[in-house]
Amino acid sequence: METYLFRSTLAEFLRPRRTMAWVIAAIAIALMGRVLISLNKDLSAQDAYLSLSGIVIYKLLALVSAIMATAVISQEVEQKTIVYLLTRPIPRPKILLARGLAAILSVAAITVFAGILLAVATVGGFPHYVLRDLLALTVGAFAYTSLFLMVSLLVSRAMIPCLLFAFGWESAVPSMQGQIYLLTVQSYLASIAQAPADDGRRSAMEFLAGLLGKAHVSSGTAWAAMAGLTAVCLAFSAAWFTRNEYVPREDGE
Amino acid sequence: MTPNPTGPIADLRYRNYDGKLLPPNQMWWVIARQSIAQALKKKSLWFLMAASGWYYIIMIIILFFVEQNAAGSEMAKVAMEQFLEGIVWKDQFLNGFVFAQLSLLLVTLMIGSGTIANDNRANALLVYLSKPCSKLDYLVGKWIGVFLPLFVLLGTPTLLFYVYGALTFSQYGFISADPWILPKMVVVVAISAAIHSSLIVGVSSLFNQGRLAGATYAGIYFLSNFFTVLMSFFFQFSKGKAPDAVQYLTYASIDGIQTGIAKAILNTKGSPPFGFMPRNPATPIPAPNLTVALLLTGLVCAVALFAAWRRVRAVEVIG
Amino acid sequence: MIQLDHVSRWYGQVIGLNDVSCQVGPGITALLGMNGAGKSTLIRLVTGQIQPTTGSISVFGHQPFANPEVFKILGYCPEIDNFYEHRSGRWFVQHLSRLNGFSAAEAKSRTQQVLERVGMADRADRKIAGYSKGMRQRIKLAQAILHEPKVILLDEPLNGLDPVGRREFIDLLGALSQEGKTILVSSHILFEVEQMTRSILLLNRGRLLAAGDLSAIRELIDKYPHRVRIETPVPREVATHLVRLPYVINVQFDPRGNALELQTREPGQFYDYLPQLVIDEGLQIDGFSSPDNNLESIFRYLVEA
Repeated sequence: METYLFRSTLAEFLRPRRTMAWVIAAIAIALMGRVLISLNKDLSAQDAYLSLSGIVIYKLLALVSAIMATAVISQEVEQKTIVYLLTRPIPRPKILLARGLAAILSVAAITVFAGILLAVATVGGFPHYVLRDLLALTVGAFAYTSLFLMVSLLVSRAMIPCLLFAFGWESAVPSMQGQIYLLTVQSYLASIAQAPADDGRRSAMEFLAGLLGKAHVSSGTAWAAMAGLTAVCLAFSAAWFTRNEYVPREDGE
Repeated sequence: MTPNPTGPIADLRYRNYDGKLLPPNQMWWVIARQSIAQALKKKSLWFLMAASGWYYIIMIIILFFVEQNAAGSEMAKVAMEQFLEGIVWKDQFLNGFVFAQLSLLLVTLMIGSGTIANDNRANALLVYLSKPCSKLDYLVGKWIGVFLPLFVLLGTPTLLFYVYGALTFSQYGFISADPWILPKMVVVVAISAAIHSSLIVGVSSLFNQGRLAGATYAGIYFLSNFFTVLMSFFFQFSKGKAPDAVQYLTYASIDGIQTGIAKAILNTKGSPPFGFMPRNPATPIPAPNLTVALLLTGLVCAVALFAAWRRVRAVEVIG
Repeated sequence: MIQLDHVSRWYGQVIGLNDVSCQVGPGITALLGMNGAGKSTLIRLVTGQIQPTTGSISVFGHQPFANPEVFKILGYCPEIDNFYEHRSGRWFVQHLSRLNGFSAAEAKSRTQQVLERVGMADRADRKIAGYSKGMRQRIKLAQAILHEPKVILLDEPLNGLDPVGRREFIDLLGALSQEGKTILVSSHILFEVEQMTRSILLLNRGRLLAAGDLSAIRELIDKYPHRVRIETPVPREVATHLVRLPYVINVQFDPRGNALELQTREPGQFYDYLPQLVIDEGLQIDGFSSPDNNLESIFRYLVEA
């Protein structure tokens, strides 16, 4: 039952009509890469990929995560089909985890696809930094989606706090002084991605690296932190979903 | 309770009213008022209004401490004078406007994403359009219902900063540098609110779930914004030697075009935030041609509103 | 069997259900009440969507809230009219069948059977977005019975159905009841509920006003004497004999002159006596009926009380 629920949810999240917009966005990002390279002959393919990946793909990851995570339970409540889900002989934690995992994989698929298209359009292949980036995007899908899923259960109209976190906090805080960067997901993803450091000649790239987040933490710590965040958020979400009531309600957003 | 002078039974004569009926005009204002009343109930709206002025708040704090510091010594006073004379005041308004964009977007999502989508879901359009309320009344009312809160949200911190600056720093050119700064900012704020209102009303009409409408608008906003941020970095990185296309592309987003129009109206290229000039300042991006920018923006807004016009129909949405 | 034991449910300051205790056994039981009486609250409690504030509920010995064991034996036909609109009815039923734990082949087979049973087999492959209200109701019922539950709860199942559809629905519920299932139907279409069952649960403002057989409840409502209408061409002559009876307390004549209506506190005795009276006195009586021995009257009497 749970396996079927996972598969059917994954199919639902990735059905063509729903993913068309993301495919178009991925193509647009790849075109941006081509435009960037053609407009600036001094810009290497690597830098073009890294800059677009850092500024666009990772933000796309956060955006897709916010949208998919809020679709796991909130959408079912708003379109009043939650009652059919909750009156099946499937334990609630398994319902949440099956749908949550489907959302995570959907986010990973969309953003990795965008990353692949960008790599093909700019670098023309998959060098090591691209592969690590794709890995970091997958880890980011787990982290962001589970975090936003938890937020969507705790808060009504969860889209806005999720967007505020993704584009406010995650943009501003990684570059701040001190240890506060440890409270961002971006910093850990930067450590996993380990983007090639700039050679100091290009101030703009340095600024872009700041946007992505400097790789302050070790790779091992980053992996542990992201795994821990995902596990804690999913566990809390499952416990919360089991204990609380979900009845159909009108769209509040 | 005030006793009824006619006796214990209430006066029910209103039920038999057969006098003159007022013409059903200004239906748009009834709809707008209802939208605004709903928006004002949201507590987070007030928080975001305060948050949208964060640049001005920090600027006021900096100016305050600069002044306080200057009272201590002659050298500090000279430094303060140099600092204040070096500030381009209209750039502070520009920066305040630019840094308020995220708050503005969030409020737009909060009050605008469900404005027509929720009516689609509830089949309320059947009710609205069966009253003496035309489609135009409905759309104008919805548009005003989003526009006015956005205008107030963005305009209030701007106005407060203007009043503070006018009272405190007029001798440092706050007013004399550009006597028309306030009317210009009113126009900038109005155009910004109008852009967001038009686009969100158009997007909202395409869906019957506010959440999806909001997600779509946020997606368009951020993805286009990422691109223009990249173009602006590229422009600055090339120290102004990039092709003209790059300069135009820095304004090819919802956020970017508002910034461009603001620059054009304020007639400035912008400067670093808070009046602090770094050692290697980035190359400022020139303002776009105002007429072209307004025409293009107007065209996009018109397309969005046309979509809303086509979508608003008195049909039943099942499910 | 469904058992409620001193169940109350609060929504903030508002009482949805107030100290309700009852049992619902096999057969069809109608859950009646005005708008806001607490019917939907009770159904949500039994289907485990919400928890009681106080008291306890059990469905065949299991507490329903977030309990998968209950949903193996419980089918629920909700009032809401929302589906995955872009999907077909067959997909919807089959999807829920899979979520009930059936294999793909079994789900397909059960889906076909249950769609035939509700009369949707020939239309189930269209998208739900194009369904009429009646078709949607049938699909909802189909998903509620596909796993052959012991308990079926239906919230306003007759809403939107045409007369033929309602008749078919009622017949289907009757057939399910004959199979020994416990069926709880929430409705306020009283005359149709009366055709389904004589067993009722009557709620008003969150309180249980009456539970049990309709006739037994009527017997107990002393405040309102039973009305009996007698069709006769000689109403005054008949009345002369009837007013002598000590338990006849009121007689009124139909203005058209072809009937009379009396009130009695002892309907059983009256009905026993009437045939003998007719034979002994040679009275011409064309027919008689009890205008208030019906659900609507009982509902009104209890609610007004």
